[in-house]
Amino acid sequence: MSQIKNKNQGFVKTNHNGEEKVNSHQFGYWKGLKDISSTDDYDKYLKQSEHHEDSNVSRRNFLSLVAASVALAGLEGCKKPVQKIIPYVDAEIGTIPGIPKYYASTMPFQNNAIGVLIENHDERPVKVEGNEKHPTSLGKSNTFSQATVLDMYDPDRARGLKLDGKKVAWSDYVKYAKSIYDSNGEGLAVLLQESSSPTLNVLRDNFAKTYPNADWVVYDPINNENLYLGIKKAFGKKMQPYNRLENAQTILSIGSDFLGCDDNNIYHTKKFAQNRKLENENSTMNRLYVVESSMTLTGANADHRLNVSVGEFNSVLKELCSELKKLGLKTDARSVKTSNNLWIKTVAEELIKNKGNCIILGGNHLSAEAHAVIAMLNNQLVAPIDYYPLTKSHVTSSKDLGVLCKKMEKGAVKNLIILGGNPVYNTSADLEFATLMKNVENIVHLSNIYDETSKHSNWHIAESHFFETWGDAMTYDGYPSVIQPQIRPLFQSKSVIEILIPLVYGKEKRSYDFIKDIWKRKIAKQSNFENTWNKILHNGIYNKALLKAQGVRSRNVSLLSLTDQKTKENQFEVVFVASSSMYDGRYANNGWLQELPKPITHLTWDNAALISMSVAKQLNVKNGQMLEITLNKKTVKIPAWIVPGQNKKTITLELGYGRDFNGRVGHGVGFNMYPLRTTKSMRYGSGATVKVLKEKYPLAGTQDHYGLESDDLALSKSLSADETQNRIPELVRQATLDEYKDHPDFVKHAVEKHLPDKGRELKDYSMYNPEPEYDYSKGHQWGMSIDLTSCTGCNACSIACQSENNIPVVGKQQVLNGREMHWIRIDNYFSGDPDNPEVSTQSVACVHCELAPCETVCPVAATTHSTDGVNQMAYNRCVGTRYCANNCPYKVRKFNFYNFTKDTPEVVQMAMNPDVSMRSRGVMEKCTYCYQRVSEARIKASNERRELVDGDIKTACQQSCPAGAIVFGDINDSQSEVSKAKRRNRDYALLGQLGTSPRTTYLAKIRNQNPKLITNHARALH
Amino acid sequence: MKTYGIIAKFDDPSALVHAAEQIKDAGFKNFDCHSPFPVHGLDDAMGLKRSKLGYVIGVCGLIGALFGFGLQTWVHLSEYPMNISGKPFFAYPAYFIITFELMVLFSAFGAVFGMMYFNKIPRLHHPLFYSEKFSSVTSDAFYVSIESSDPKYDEKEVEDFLKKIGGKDIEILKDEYEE
Amino acid sequence: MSEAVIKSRAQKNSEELLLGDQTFTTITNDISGIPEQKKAPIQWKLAFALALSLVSVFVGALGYLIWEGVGIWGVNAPIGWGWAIINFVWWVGIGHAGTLISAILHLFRQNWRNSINRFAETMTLFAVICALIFPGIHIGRIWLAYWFFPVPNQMAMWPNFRSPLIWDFFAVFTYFTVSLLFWYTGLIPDLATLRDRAKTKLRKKIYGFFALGWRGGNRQWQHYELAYLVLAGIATPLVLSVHSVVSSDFAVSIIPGWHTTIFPPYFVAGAIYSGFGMVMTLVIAARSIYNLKHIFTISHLDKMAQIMLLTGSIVGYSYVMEFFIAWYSGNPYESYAFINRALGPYWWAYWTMISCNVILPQFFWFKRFRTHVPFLFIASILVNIGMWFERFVIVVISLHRDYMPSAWAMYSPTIWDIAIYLGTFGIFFTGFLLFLRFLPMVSMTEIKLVLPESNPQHGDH
Repeated sequence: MSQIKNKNQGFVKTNHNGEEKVNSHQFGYWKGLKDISSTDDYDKYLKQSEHHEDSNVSRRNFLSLVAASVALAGLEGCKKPVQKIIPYVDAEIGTIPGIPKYYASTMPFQNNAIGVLIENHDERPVKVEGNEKHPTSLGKSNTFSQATVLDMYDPDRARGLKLDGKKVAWSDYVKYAKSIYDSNGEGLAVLLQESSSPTLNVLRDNFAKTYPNADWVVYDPINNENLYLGIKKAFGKKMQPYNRLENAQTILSIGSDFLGCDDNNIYHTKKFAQNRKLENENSTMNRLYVVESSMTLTGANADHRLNVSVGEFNSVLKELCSELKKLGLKTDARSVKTSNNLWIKTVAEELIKNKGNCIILGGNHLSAEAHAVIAMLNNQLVAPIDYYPLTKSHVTSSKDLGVLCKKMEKGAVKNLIILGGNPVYNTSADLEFATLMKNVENIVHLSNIYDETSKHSNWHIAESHFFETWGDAMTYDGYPSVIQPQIRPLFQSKSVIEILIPLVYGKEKRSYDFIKDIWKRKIAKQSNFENTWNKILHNGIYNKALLKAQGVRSRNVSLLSLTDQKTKENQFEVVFVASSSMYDGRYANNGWLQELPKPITHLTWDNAALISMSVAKQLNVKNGQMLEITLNKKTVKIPAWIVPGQNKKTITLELGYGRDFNGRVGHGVGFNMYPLRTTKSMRYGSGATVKVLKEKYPLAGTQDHYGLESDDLALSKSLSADETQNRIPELVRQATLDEYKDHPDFVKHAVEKHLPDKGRELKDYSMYNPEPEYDYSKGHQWGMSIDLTSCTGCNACSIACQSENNIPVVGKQQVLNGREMHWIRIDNYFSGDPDNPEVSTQSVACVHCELAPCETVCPVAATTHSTDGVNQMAYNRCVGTRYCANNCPYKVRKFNFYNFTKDTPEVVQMAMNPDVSMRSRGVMEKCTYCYQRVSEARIKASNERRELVDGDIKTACQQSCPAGAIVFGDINDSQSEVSKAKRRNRDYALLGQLGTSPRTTYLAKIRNQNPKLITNHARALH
Repeated sequence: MKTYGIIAKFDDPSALVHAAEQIKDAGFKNFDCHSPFPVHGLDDAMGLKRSKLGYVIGVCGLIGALFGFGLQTWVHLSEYPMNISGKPFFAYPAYFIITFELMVLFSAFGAVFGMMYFNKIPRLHHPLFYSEKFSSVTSDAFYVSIESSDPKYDEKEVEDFLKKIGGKDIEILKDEYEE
Repeated sequence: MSEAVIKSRAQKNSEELLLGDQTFTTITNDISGIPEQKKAPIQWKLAFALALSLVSVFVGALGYLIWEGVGIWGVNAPIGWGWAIINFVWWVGIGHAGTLISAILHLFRQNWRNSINRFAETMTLFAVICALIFPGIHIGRIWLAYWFFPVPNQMAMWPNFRSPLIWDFFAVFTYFTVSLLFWYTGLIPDLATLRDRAKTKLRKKIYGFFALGWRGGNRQWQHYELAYLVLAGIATPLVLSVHSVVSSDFAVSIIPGWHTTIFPPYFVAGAIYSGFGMVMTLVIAARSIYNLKHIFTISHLDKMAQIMLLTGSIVGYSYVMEFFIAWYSGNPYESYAFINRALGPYWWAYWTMISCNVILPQFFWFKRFRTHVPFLFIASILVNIGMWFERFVIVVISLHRDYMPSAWAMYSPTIWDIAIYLGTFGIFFTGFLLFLRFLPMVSMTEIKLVLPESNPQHGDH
């Protein structure tokens, strides 16, 4: 109990800032247990719960009532959201303070549904995990689902309803909606983001009934529109392809970043990595060919990568067609003149060879026609793709948006309801949405933060985070999954459904009842619905799919429409991509994501114009040099960042930055690229010109030297670059599959090279004789294994770690000073041709050396070794000499140079994990193997009178890793996954020759290169 | 009232040494020779035994060393054994430096405070300071002092004797100072 | 014998360690005359004002440091140690000359050291004080610095005696204490002199108190000399150990460029080198301000320059050996660390070090440079600049590129690093100037022993 008190008093404690004061009363939290009330309080409370959510019970009153319910635990658990929701792990009633509860829910992401498991501490959601029962997440997660916790507790979130800047009541909106309802809805338009909610579907149909001539427009700046259009061209109707990568031995991606920013990346990564797990040298693995213009995660994981500008994707596609035609596919490749490129030839051959288990993925920069061709090819190659029907409410239609804008221009729109999204910021520049909005009488904007669009709307309604509201969503393959609230809305916010109901029905309905009803009538049509419902809530998903995979027959698609966008000399093509951190800008106020080093570029707190090294030389541009980029007479300024593997003709621009809104974290961070993005260059545009400006801009990259770029200092030219190149084979041990077959023990070679004296054991160099008395052969001994072959470097582990271990955000300036705090560092090394390098990715956290160099040098014994072999930090004992960090060969210790958590807003404090202590200033910190989880599991096991078994403990990184590359467990248990992994012949210790005998070891990276295309031989061998 | 003793000035170190020899031969015990700096050969001339200070310092050093090594061993073996870098609890090679430092520290204290003990300082008041002239002994004068506590002490004889061996401005000092 | 004889002898026998017609009386007057001045010379006043203002800079910077945290400095990851540790090692190094001169040269009966040892010892004391500041304030939680001491406590928390930092801590504190005792012991007879010459009651009382009632009797001299000899005896291994231990802060680690066995001797040599540099600077200044040219003679400077030539060359030899071993070991990390020193982004630091510590002392092969006072003065300052850069090279360059290229970074100091460093100069000179003002800067007792007539056997028999 006292635990609850400590945990929660903080949140209700008012602080200096008035703004905060307000919300502190709005939390769905009890005020400690000061006023334990009698049973009749509780009865009042039970009555309460019959009322609907917006009952007139005062918040304060509610608080004490909840307190009552907790005090009388056992009667009925803490009714945080008033309706009944079922804990995932243990359905038994009542809250045990300090024991987290897990509730299944769903994170709606565009028109996909990501099944999540939300860890609640004392009725407070603090951590997101994947839901193993859910087909899209498969128990895994990605950076966005991990970081969404911070969005929930964003202090800058809008509060309640505002009309022309004045606070108004919910009833006022209902009146307004009623007024529209009573009119025939002439000039009404609803603008939504993509969604897959079945409930929303129903609402849409009824909306159409109620307002026959009103508009229902769906728009998201990042979307698969061309893909769907292409599929329509090929198969006659829009469909959602579901790529069953697990059945694909050969994968060809043409500009598709399916492991990175493209949709469904958790599923894709997991299924892709599944076929890259090698037991031994005789195992097989899939092979990934990538055609792309800018180095993406997918490209980084490619076995063979072809560097082609987006403008030339079409000709690659055409050549592929003609090659495939030669090999017997039916494609009309009349128009194609083959340059007979070895690369494409080889790919074509392999695709044919693996007919039935090969797949071609097209990126969203491709035209509809190109997608049609790809669909056609996939169809002929019998690619493992299932096609599921799409409903109109789901996906973006720029046509509809265009129509809406025309109407707005004519002033034909009187009431515009914008539900989520930020059109003013992210619609194409030529539409000038903001100006059009002036012609609309009433604009209602629902958004989590008062943003660019809100400024132009007279109504503003705070949008609920999916932790706070009832809702539903559906996976691509039609599994309906439910969104259940974890907590009452912190800021009297509303959901899309809650806004639409009064509009569609002219009266209020409880969203809960409404959704439940729809599920009852349309989804789970079961005799005993209540049980099914509870089961659904428990699992987070309904086990019967609503959609059936469609059989497809491709019609013949002409290649004639596939033309190249040629870029002239000293002109460039500009490619717009979703930011791996901000996505389309929606995460701009999320500190974790802002500071998360992006894959490949390692940039934080900014976006940049990614240019190739040759262009940099040609324009004489250094990192951070400001560029002025002009496309179709529109101009933006943005600093340059040099990236290996970037195409000479391509400048890649990340969207989602340069926001201008009430976000203390994200306001004015980075540069807004939407102004360059017009309807005819939504995805990319050729013919851009670049002017190099004088001024430089500081870009906070966390890994300075790619090893290819030399720091331009006198005398030291390429000194770092060359040395990095020398070290890569030894740090990230790697070989091609064939080399591995010939030399199963190749990982050993690299070590012996540096051993001072052959024939002697490392321990022979110890000055202590006899050997130390620590016996690691007994009890649980924790260890970890990271498989570099399946690791894609997606960052999920890094941010999961941040969320689990309360790692502070330090801000751009400190990152520039090299003081970022992430416990997991994702290293990238580039080797080979700068224009098309091989990428070696390695995620590095504390490796828990058994003979840890950091421990012996600590003057106050603040870091020592536990009996189960974990290298521990006693934060309270640390005085901060930083000697341990200096003496750590892996450089994984992070120091609190300032008190980074001093001014964490109280709301954000709610997102902190109570099981992990906050670190004060002047203290060293690092990976603990999530020791809090180890203890939790140990306690649980002992309560259940049983031994810890393998899999009881999952570290945060391991649990999130979609590739399943991280394995943690007891190395004394010969049957544990980790022991198995460590027994593989690819197992090696990073810098093992130093004799630190780390507990975290790596499995060497194997590239499945096609012998026909191998450029550089014998990488790791000598 | 009681006298402390008698003092006589000599020209230079050699004179002082001669005087010392003669006083010793004359059988005086409680006498001393004062000079601005240590004069070589005076110890023999005065027939002083070797200083015992050396032993004191040696003992102190030994204690320091034992304490140093003992402390470290005790802390790491019994008081709070901790697994640090998998090194043995009894990591004696690592203990030697602090052992050495403490040995030096203790013997240094031994040397200084031992010296003070043998020299019976600090003693801020001393009858010798009652003599105006004697004060120059710390800059350029050389004095001999014979204490009244000496068995052979007889004011007149001693005075004549000192004159005879070349003592100048002879003074008889009282035990207490009077105006 | 007559005064004339003595004087003539004085000149001959004392091999120009004392010039002019010196007698016990003149020496006493000359030296104790300085603290007895009614008014301090104007240069002293100016210097003191400057020193005090630097102290105030230090206090301000320290306050801000304690308030904000070490984040105000340039340190980062992976360069966890910056100027603070560099300055620490630098000051400790300087602090070596004192005890070396008084102890080792005393044991070798080098009585030319008698006129500079007091000077050097004092310099040592304040240098070590400045040094001791840094380990205390460079840590993250300054208010917990006392956890370095083995203080018994209810939590049974003890230091980790395996850590070089703790060795270091003990070594430097022992060194400070012993130097203090040594210095004070040597001071007692001179304090007595000042007491006996004191005109005012207050002076008499104060000097009298610290003189402990010294009477210059041979029964005191006997123990005194033994104590002094033994102190010199134990200070000798101590002074050699201190910087060896300091060097183990680096040598015990596993960072390429730190993890080398050559460090102890090479650090000690470097320390003596820089220490003599500092003594040289101060002596030259003092002898011109207080015109003590007859006491700090050219021949002293010459001898010091010779020692600097020796130690400087040892240091240079070590630099060469480091490179040789780095190559010979065949350890790629080690070799890279050294190539990176010479050619990496911090090449300028490395070559400053080489030119000040290896090339510069080679001039001292020639007597005309060893005896050319202005040259010596500039050289002595360059020496310490060079030695500062040596520590910069070792600390920063080794850390900024070690094992994992992904963690490589650059380091640059902030205004606060500089403020703290300058501040310690304030502390050093404030202390030293007060010493010049109130205490005899030369050991009168010992320098009198340089005069031939101090020896009873001299002269006619």
